[in-house]
Amino acid sequence: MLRSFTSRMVGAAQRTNSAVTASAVRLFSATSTASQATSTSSTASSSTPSTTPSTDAQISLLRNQLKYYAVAEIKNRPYLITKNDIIVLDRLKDVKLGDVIELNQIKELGSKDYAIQGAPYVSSEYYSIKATVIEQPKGKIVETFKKKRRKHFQRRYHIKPLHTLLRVSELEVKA
Amino acid sequence: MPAPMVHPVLKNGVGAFIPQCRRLVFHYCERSGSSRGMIEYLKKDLIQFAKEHPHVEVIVTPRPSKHPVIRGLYLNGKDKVVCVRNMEPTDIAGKVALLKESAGNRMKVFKKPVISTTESVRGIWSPFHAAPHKI
Repeated sequence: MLRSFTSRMVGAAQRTNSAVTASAVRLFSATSTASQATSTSSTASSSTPSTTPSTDAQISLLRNQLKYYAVAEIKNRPYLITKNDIIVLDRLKDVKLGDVIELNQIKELGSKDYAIQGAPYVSSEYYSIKATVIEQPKGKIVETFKKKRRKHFQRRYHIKPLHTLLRVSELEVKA
Repeated sequence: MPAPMVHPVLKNGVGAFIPQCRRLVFHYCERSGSSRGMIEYLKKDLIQFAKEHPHVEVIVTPRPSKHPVIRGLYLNGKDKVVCVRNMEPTDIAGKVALLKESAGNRMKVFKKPVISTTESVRGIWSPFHAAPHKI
């Protein structure tokens, strides 16, 4: 039905045509220990560049964009975050309200047309990502019910999870 | 016609962080046994807690012939009430910390790891702006 496409078209009209070609040339990789420029490979299907771009050139491409996201790894779990987001974590014991945490395990740093994938993490000299502890609430009771029918076996487990909420206060790409 | 109320979009923690708990009211009974732990907590630990958290207004009021209760009031106008009858001072300290670290919202199930109101960075997929598939 045409109805669904028209709503898509309104949002799509705001995007530039560069998205068509750039989306195919999207991903570059960078090593975590790179302080000097390293050779990288682009996963492009349509174009085959003769020279591989350096990490600094990639960062300058990224810096020309407007909005960024990052895939941060906190306690071995990935969180896709932008600025002003709230991250819901299991309770962190060694943290108080108002503490500012610098996230330095970033797997991917990206924008609309470009993304940098770390191997395993992006070097921390290219970004500044900070999160503030805003709340440490208790969640609602979660019930797990187990039953084996005709075997007279059933159990109910109740958990009231403890959380820490972090607000992403800063997400910047540095030159 | 009066102007409609404008509610600012609050993002606590981005520019500045404001602790959400603004008042803790401690009710106890002088005579009843269920307030014994509460009275001990009020004598031993409460003053230290109040000094460490100057943004929290601490009020202690006797409430005769009732169980001891801690009532926390938050910046969004809501309150949380916790009954601490027959609890030891260490348990009461735990409940006070729970109230102090909360934000006045209802307890809810957090289904997603990230709560976000910003638009997606990469945009929503559209068949007219994606590379055509090949068979």
